[in-house]
Amino acid sequence: MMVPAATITALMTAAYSVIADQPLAHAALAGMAPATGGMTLGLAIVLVRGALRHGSRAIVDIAVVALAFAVLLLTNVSSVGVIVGTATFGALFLGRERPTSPEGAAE
Amino acid sequence: MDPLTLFLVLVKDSALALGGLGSLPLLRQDLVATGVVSDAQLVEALAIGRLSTGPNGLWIVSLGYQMAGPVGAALALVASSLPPLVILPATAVARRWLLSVPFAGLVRGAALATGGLLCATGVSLVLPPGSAASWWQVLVGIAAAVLTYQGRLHPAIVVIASALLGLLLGR
Repeated sequence: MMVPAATITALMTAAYSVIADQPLAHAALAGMAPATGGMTLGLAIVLVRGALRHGSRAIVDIAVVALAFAVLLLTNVSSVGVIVGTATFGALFLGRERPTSPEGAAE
Repeated sequence: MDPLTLFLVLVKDSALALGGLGSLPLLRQDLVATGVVSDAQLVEALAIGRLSTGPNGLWIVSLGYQMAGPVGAALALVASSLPPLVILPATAVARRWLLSVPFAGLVRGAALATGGLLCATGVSLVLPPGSAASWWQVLVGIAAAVLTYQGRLHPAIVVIASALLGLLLGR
C-alpha cells in the first residue's frame, strides 16, 4: 500500500527538481515555506490537544510543551534527548490518568 | 552522507517520532543543522508530501530522494516503515504492559515533547532565524495553522494556494 504512494511522491520530487532552480519555483517556495510551517504548527496543536489532561494537571502538561519549545528554539540540546527525557518524566509523573480514547492513546 | 548513515538516521528519527510529522524536528536537527540538506529542500519535501497521495509521513521519501535520488527514496520508505512494522507485533506480546499507567505517562510525555518541538519547528519555518519574513508570509503561516487545526480543508489545497500566493507576491 505504501509503495505506490511512495513512488508517486518520488516521481513528484523528481519532477520538481527539474524546475527547482527556476525563479518561479523560488517564488512559489516563498509562499509554501510559511504554509508548511503553519501546517506543522496546526498539527502540533492537534497533537498537544489530544495529549493534554484535564484540570490543574494540564498546567504541568503545558509546561512540558513550553519546555520542549524553548529548548529547540533557544538551545542546541538534542531533540532526541528532549523526547527521551520527557518520556521518562512522563512514565514517572504523567501517567496517573490513563488515556481513555484512541486519540489520547495514540497522540 | 553515505547511504548506510542516511538509513540509520532515518530509522532512528522515525522510531522516536509520534505521527507522520513527528520526525520533522529530529530530521531537521540531524540533516539541516549539519548542512546535509537545506531548509528549502525540507520545505519542498514537506509540500510534496502534502500534495502526494498516502500518509503524512511519506514526506520523508521526498527528502530521501533529494538527498540520494531513487536509492534515497527507497531507503527513506524502508526506514520510515520499519519502526511500525517492529512495534506492531511487539504490542501484541506486551499488551498488558502497554495498558499500564507508566506507559500511558511515557506516551503522554513523548507526545507533549513532540508537540512542543513541532511548534518550535513550525514557528522557525514561518519566521526563519536570520531573515525577515514578509507580512503576507506571516499571514499565510497563521492561516495555514488555523486551517490545519480545523481540518476542514485538504492540505494539498493549502499548499497550492500558498504557492500561488508566492507566485503573486513573492517575486
